[in-house]
Amino acid sequence: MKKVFDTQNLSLFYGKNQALKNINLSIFEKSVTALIGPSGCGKSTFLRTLNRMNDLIPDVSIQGGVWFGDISIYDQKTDVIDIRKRIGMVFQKPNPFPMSIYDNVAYGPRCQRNYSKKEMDALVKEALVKSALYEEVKDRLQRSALELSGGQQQRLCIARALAMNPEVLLMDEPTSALDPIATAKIEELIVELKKNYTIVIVTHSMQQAARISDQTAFFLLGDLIEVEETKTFFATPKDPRSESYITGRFG
Amino acid sequence: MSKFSFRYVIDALLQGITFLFSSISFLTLGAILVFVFNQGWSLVNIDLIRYPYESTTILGAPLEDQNEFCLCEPNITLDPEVFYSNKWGVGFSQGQDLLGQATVQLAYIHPNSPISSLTNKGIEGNEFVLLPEYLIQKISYNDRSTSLARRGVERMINELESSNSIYEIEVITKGGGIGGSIITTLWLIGLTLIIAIPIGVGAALYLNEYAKHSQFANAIRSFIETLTGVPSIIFGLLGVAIFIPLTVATTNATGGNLISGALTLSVILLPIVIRTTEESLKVVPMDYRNASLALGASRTQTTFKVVIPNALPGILAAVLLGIGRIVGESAALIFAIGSIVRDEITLTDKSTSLAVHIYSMMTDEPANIELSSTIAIIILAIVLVLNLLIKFISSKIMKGKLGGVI
Amino acid sequence: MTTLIETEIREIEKNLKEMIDLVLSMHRDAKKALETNDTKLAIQIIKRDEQVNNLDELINESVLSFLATQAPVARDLRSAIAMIRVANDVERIGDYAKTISEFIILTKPLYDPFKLYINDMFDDFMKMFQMATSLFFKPVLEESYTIAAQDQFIDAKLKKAFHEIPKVVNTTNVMSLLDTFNIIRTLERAGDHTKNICEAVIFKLKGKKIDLG
Repeated sequence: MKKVFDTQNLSLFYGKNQALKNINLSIFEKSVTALIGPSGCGKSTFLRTLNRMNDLIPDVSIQGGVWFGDISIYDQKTDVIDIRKRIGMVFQKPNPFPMSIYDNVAYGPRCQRNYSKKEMDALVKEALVKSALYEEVKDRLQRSALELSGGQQQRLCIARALAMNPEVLLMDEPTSALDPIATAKIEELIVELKKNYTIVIVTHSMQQAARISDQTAFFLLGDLIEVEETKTFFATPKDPRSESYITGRFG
Repeated sequence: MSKFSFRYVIDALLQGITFLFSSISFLTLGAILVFVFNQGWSLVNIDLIRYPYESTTILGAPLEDQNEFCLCEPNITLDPEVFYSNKWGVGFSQGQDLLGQATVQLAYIHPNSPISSLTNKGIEGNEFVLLPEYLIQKISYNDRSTSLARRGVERMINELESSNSIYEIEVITKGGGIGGSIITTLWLIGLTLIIAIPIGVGAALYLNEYAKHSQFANAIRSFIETLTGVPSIIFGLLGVAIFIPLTVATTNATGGNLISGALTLSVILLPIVIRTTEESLKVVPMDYRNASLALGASRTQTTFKVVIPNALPGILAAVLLGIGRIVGESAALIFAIGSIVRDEITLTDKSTSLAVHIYSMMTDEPANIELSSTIAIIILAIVLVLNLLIKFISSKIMKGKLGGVI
Repeated sequence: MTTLIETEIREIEKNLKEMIDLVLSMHRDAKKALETNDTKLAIQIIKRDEQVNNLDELINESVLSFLATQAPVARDLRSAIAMIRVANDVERIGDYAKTISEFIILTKPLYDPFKLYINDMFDDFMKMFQMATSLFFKPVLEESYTIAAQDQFIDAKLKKAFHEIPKVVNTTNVMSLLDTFNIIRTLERAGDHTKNICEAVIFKLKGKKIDLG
């Protein structure tokens, strides 16, 4: 299977504090990779290295390499904006802009170039259809995004990311702020989306990781303990620490 | 049981005290307003704008094409002591000039009067309008001897009525107008905002978006915080020391002028604008910036498309604060612009803002409290109108940005 | 502090242990009853089988609700599935004790020469059963193979008995031979089911079903 991401001895420091220790992890095309582990284990930090969102945090330093296809992400010459166009991100708390639904989805593309109304209408509709939101909002595209429910807002954020036509979707605990029904809808959506996109999802819920991912990576205190095909990982994990964690024997 | 009700007593006491304090504040503010309105309301009328500040003596000649007599009745009821000429459509009454001597005052002029507009025989040669309360010193005719005001009102009206052709009229215009000061104030508001808001917002953007955590930014920030506490008269000194020489050197100004005043006010305003804007930038959730950047927007796009629109309420609050400060600033402006009241306002000349005008009035002999209060009312009116205007504009913008939700 | 999962598993294991102890005692008593032709004891054994069936039902239900409510993974999941399998085999083994008891009640005559085989096989089986069931609660991979291998002794004895039959059969003893051989066959089956318990141990450890022959 084709590798979309490949990290080589990736280490990350917040000042003197090492948050990621020599991570070697491959992400494969058109699949879902789940990153699990207890709080503070580095999984969200790792996720953010993939689209250089860690650049926003002061005092961060990186060692080792992250390859996106054949581009080294942390190379001096790499265009960060270009990377972020190809890699979409959805955050834990739904964060639509305080604009209309239409403008939210159109935001990303509009930052890149001008679109005719017809082009943009089609683009917005496609993104909303892909994120299973279109039917629910097609009659109120001009209304504020803040009127939507939490689950709808999160799907809007997904649509917003998809509008950029990325190759990858990074999702940082996308359902942890949502109720079970909204969560189920998004999980279904993810399973549908993986036919066309590569998805990396950080999740606190092991059941979620077990349900929807193809590959599971277990992080602990900045180390990558085990990465394995999901069904094997949850039936017969190899590392005793993995087993302790997923059976709830420790926090 | 007693402990129980004791606590309630304390609660009630506290509530009573806080109510008392808020009443005191409310009543004090109310009293100020009542005082100002009481003193100044009587003088509020459109004349304040129509009349220049200085009263001047003008020789006016009838307009070339005004040949028809009015032959009209007054269209308001005139006071008993007003003497009216049907032919010319003017009513005169007893008046007093600046030295206290008896003279003739124009009490009423009919819209169709042939002498409602006159040509200034002086250097300017332009038209001017005859307004009520102007003093008529003398009228020269082509067909009879001159009327002099000191000979009495009734005599002058009779002499006027008996003539068919006026050669010239010597008019003393009424002064006390504050039009000049109003214009100065508005200019100051405009110029200062144009200078201070962009610079202030820009500085706040730098401090909050680009250099948030650097030592340098922290130093600047504490420095600016200290500046907000500096008394504005010190900035006035700054104005005299730097801005006046600057403008004198670069323009044809000769002393304090509008531009130096605006610059001084900008400096006073900057710390406030920067602080307020920074606070409102901080309130914009980091989430929005993250979302924008993750979508492949640049820092600049994020700042202008997401951060600033969301910080707009704060920025507008800074604008409102600024306007209040500008309109009310007196001490610094006395130095930076001057305290000489003017009618003709140019950017490079001395003039007064409304606040300084009040200062001028109050330091005259005798102190003119009525007029000062009137000016105060006008200041309040201007500030109120500008506030409402800005709130209206901002709500329109918000509606646009938020797509229907404020 | 024990987790919810651990508590539930312990509870199910307790029931399973109780079931195992019951069945072991059933076979001990069956051996005794067979020797002394004790019908009263045989009736008791049959009654105990009811308890065994109830426990089997309880264990199945418990595991089902455990899976549904705790959504266990890894070793907890494998344990739960393995316990159902073991309960199933233990229940069968209990049935065999019941069958033997029924034989006693019907006062069928034993073919005396085979008595030795039967007693030996009882001993072999019970030893194997005890070891296998203990192993299940303290699983060690290699031992599941060694214990399973003990089944061959039971099988060997069956073969031996089987080969004797043509030598001794005649028209008068044919029925009692058949009946007696049935008991031998029953014990051999008990051994097979005990081997299944070893397979369950492997599944519990490895998550794989290995056929131990």
